[in-house]
Amino acid sequence: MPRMLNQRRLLATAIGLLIVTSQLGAGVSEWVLYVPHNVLEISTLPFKRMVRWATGGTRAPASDGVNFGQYEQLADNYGAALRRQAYLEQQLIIAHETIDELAAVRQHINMTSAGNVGGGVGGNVGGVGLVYATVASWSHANGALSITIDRGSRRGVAVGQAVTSGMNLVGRVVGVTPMTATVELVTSPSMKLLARVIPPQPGPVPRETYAEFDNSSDDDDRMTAVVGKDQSVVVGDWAHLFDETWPAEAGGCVIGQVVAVEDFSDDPLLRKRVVIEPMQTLSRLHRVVVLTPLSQVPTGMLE
Amino acid sequence: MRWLVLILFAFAFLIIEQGATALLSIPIAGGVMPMLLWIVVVFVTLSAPVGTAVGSALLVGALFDLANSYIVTPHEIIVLGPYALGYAFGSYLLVQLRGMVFKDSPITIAAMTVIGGLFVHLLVIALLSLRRLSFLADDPVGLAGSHDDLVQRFLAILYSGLLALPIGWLLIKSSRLWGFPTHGQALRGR
Repeated sequence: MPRMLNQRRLLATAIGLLIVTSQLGAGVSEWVLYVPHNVLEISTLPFKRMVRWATGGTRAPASDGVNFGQYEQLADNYGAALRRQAYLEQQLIIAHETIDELAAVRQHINMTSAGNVGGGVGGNVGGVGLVYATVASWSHANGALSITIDRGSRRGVAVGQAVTSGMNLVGRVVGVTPMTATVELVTSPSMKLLARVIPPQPGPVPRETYAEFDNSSDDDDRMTAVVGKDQSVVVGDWAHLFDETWPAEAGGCVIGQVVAVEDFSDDPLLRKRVVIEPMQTLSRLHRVVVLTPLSQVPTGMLE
Repeated sequence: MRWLVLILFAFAFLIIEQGATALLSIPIAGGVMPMLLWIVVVFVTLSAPVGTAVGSALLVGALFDLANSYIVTPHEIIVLGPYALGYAFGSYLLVQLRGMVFKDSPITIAAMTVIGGLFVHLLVIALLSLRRLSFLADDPVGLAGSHDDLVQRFLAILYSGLLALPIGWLLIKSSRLWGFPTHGQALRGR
């Protein structure tokens, strides 16, 4: 009987504490829970990566459907060609990462370096630090779409930095631990992005439209904006990031491609709805790049 | 009950739940994932003494809370409590029902997963909604209670019930590892 009473007291205390912690403000909660959350993330990261690697190929990827036949056929499959380009950019990222790691090894044993700074952390292009990362997990919970990557503050990743996949914008870092980071995807319902919509190739008559996109539809992979009927937007145009609230390094990154232009139901005579879709399925990305200011990338770090 | 076995199973299921999203997620209502940790809690609840069942539910729920975060753009917030208390609440309710069911049946585990899961999410939504009150945290997180959120949670419960059939069968096969007290030991108050 005394043991049962002690157990009940313990449970009651635990329940009381948990009720309190469930109502703590963000600042206090972060201060209290930062360490246990980080320890849990770091301890489970290698296993999550293994599981994701083992199960990532269970679903067939979206068909590229590229046709390198006659020119007319190539024009008809322009969208498929763009998807193929996105895939090749992924491969390019992997190749750059391998090159940087090899360069770091050569630096470490005092051999002539071929070029990039990075020491195994990443590289840099045009004054922007690049931190290559692998996606460890994906989450759609509590109204937000996010991925967890296997690079954190130890590698120079910080809250607010932009994450891309080649030239395609993936999202923004919203949380970091020493070894991982949480990235909110651009298609998350709470994201609003100012974009410049222009044709993928310059035409005889230059045209551009500025619009604010968000994901207020039921489709996780699409974002919409409402523009005036006089704005010249057509299917196939690209939406580039043009938002001052985002880091300058991400300016110009492609948010998505226009897939539909339809009448705005509330005001069909004066406005229209533009729907864009990212070039890649963001929740199924395997590798991404975090854009960091060059000074934040720790130099001399090796794997 | 052997707590080490519970912790190992909890970690394993947490890693699978968070790592195997490509395999497990169903692309409807924004992506529905099963509650694998809740299935483990249901299994423990059906066999362990009351205090142990609720305590293990608290522990596993706290693990889930710490492993997941809420994104309130542009920050990420960790909230410890909603799922810990939700799992404990669901577990306590299932303790009241377990006398009426066959414990060594995957169908029982599946049914209890669905029934208990409804109460788990009920409490989670209530606690997250309380955060919006100005005289409490006044710090809302996520879209708990919205239409999309309710649909997603309900589908997750059903999906978990479906997966509880094979997973429950595996857990029943592993019963010896857990060291649950026998009926005689339970009567003697061990």
